Amino acid sequence: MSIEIHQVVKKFGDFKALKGIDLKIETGELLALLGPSGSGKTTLLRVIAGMEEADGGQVFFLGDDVSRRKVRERGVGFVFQHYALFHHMTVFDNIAFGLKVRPSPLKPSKKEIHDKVHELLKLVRLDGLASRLPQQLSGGQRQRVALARALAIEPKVLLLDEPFGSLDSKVRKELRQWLRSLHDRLKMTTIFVTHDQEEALEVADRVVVMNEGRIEQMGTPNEVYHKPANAFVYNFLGNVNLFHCRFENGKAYIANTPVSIKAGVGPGVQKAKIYIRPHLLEISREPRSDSFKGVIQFLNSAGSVAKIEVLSEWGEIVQVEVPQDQFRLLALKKGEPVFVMLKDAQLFHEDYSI
Amino acid sequence: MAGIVGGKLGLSGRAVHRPFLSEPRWVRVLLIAIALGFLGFFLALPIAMVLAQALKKGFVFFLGALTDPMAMSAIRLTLIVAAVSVPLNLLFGLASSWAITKFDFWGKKFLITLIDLPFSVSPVISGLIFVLLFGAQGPLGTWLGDHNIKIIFSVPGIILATLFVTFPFVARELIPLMESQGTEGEYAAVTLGANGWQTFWMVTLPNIKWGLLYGVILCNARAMGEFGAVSVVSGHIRGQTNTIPLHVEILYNEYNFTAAFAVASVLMLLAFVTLLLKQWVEWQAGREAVLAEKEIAGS
Repeated sequence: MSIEIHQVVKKFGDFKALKGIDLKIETGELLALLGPSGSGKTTLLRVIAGMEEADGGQVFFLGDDVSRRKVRERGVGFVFQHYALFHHMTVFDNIAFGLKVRPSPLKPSKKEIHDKVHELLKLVRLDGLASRLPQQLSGGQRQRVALARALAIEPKVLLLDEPFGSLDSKVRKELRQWLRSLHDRLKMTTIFVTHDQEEALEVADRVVVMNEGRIEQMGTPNEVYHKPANAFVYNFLGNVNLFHCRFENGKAYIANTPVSIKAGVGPGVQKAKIYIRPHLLEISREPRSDSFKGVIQFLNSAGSVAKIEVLSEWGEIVQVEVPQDQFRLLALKKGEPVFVMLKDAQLFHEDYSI
Repeated sequence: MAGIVGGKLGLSGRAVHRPFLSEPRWVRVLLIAIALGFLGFFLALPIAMVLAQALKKGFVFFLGALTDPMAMSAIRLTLIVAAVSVPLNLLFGLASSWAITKFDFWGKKFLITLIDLPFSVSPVISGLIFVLLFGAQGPLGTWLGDHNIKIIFSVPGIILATLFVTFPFVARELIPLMESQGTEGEYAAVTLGANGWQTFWMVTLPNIKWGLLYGVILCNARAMGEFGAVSVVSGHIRGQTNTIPLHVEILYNEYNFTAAFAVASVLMLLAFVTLLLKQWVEWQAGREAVLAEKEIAGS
């Protein structure tokens, strides 16, 4: 089912949580709402579900205006961050809840409910746990019960609020791949909220980056990662170093060090902020024409890449990431002088501060 | 429930003996002696006195004092008052805590303060309010008199005064409990298609049942034992508007000590039953709190 959001505004007292959101979600799409806390992503999800009433704008399901429709009339499956399982009910009763509360003409028979619940238990790989209570399950299992419960009412759209937010990192990695494959099988329009950029980029067909009640950018994971619309998006999607850069005669300088920047600079620009990811910096023992000097402050090679912190000649800490094999070749030590080059910098003119 | 009842439950069980946290032996002995001495003097001794006095003239006299028509009438009236006011306050407590914790509305803070009012007002004043309101000189007195409705110095007045004094008990138990549980469970039920009634019976009530029962027990104990407010509106008509506490007072004022203590022992018995019930509810709630905590810890 396609969803269209038109100029949605939501206020909590004086605080504007959503400042006019326009968004279209295609049928069968898996969409991530990504942003820091307070960006309005959860509020937007709750407006779509009908748990919050928008102060302005409309929400359309398949072209129908559902803005004034109540939650229970919208037919959405909602998975809560903390599962919100009914902990006095067994797994079976939790999943069967949506079927049991149906008015009598639409209510399935006991046998139908039983079959449906067991089919769903199989889908979320929890068969055999039907008679357990939620408190007897692990976090990941509870999350899957919550998902099965939401799917039981055969919703036209599935909404997930930070679905893996309270799980440990190994389980969340497993679960998000599983969610992706489940979506590929069910083809249900799905929107999930997350503050974890890795999760959004890995799972979603399309990512909507939000900040302060606005959409900063929407696009495929590739687009938002490689072609960030602005400094916020670039900064939010990974670690960055920030340099204040000035231009003289078409040449760029950080402090007094000339640096090479691929991005074109408009005429008349004298100052800009440069953002660059740690892995797009190069480190060497020999100086080059466009390198700046620094001293190694901190080394950490536990991980897929080695992380190095360099104190630059103008007194700022710069984060650099180098591949492990290169790190071994360089044989760096704390306190040693090194030279750092910019490989590929992003330049943003507008005023955005981290 | 952990925050409300669980706190006082002794969920921690027996105090673990930690030498480095422990006081010297004489301090421990002194503290325990003070606590026990205090309890003994202010609780055990009076209870023993009540029982001793009640049985002073023998068991037959004791039974006689209880089966006296006036005493029977007082016991009956007390039961009627509790039977009417406790269910009404149960409904009020549920409705008000539901409204306060699940919705946002103007004047919410004021309503919470207002619910506490009977706790902060002297019971005598609570009784006087109704005398002033419904009495012969009150704004409603003339109208009530014309229609031959008697409230003050009769059973409806006693029930009203009891209702007023006991209405915070259920709400006070439920508001913090429901606040701590939030609205996610209810939202989950609604997204799954449940209507308000189904949500209440299937999701909200099972979560608050122990807190609710606890509030009802406290409410009932107060409804049966209330003296001040009831005394003002009752008029002390023997056999008609005397509750157990009022009957005890009358007997006592008539120097009929043994009978007074015999009837008082009925109230004491009710208090014991209440305490036992309370203990049982706390124990049940504690068990569930432990389970719920496991759930949170596991997530």
